[in-house]
Amino acid sequence: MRTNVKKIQRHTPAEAEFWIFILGDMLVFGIFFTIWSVTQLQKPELFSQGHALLNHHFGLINTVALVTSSMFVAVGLNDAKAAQFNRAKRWFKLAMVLGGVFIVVKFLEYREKILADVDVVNNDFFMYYFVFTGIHLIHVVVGMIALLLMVNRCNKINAGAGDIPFLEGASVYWHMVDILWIVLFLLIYLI
Amino acid sequence: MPIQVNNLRALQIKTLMVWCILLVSTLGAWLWMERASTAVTHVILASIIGLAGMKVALVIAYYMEINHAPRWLQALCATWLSVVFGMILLCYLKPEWVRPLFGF
Repeated sequence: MRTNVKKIQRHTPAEAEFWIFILGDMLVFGIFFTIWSVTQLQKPELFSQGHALLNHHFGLINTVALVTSSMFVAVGLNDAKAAQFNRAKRWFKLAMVLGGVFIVVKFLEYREKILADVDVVNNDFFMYYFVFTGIHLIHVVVGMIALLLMVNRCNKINAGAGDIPFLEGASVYWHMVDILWIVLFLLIYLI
Repeated sequence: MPIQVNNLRALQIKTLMVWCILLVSTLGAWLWMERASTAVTHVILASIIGLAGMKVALVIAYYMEINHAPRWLQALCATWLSVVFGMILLCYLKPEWVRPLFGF
């Protein structure tokens, strides 16, 4: 009796070596998440006070912006793989707009805290808040550069299948930035 | 080889559906916590953490395309997800188990 088994075509998005960097970065942020979670156990009142001082609307706007920009990148990559590079380019530009929204909102949030004179040196909540979200913000800025390079790749007259590994790699990086923010949003703003 | 047009449409719809789930769970969790404020039970905490874990899993599987990745990469991503969210659940739901590990 013959059985037809549908084999899934397995594919590593981007170069396999690039994942050493991605997983390494995720590991580092995993350590940040542990530090945050354990410190809030040590100083629950301090973290409760700090949590109450945060602008939760900014946190929500930033999460919606990053999640939506991730969607735009995924949609754009699908278009690029279907050789629709002009359409892909538009999606990547939209993703950049939302990345810009994230950066502006983060700037406004930091400004709000600085003007409120929060004690970064002696207050562990705000020290970790600025360090972890600051390092994440640097990742967002690097991601914006990657998105710009993706737009440039799609702009090439002879854009084709050879450009897909780069587009995949940059997309994976942007999605990593998104998932790290989802966890930061959970720990810093929600719980 | 480019994706076939009918497959592309199906793929885009799937991507959009994942985004809808991400958006609804983000708004839902935020509203839930804003309303709960001082009355946050273990059930609510576990649900909020679980929702975040689900969101991360969806992005990894469908946006990073790990659902079609080689087993080694799926295993590494699944391990990261399990360890991170397992740690968060432990710290927030069973702090008495975690405190001795860190000497306080």
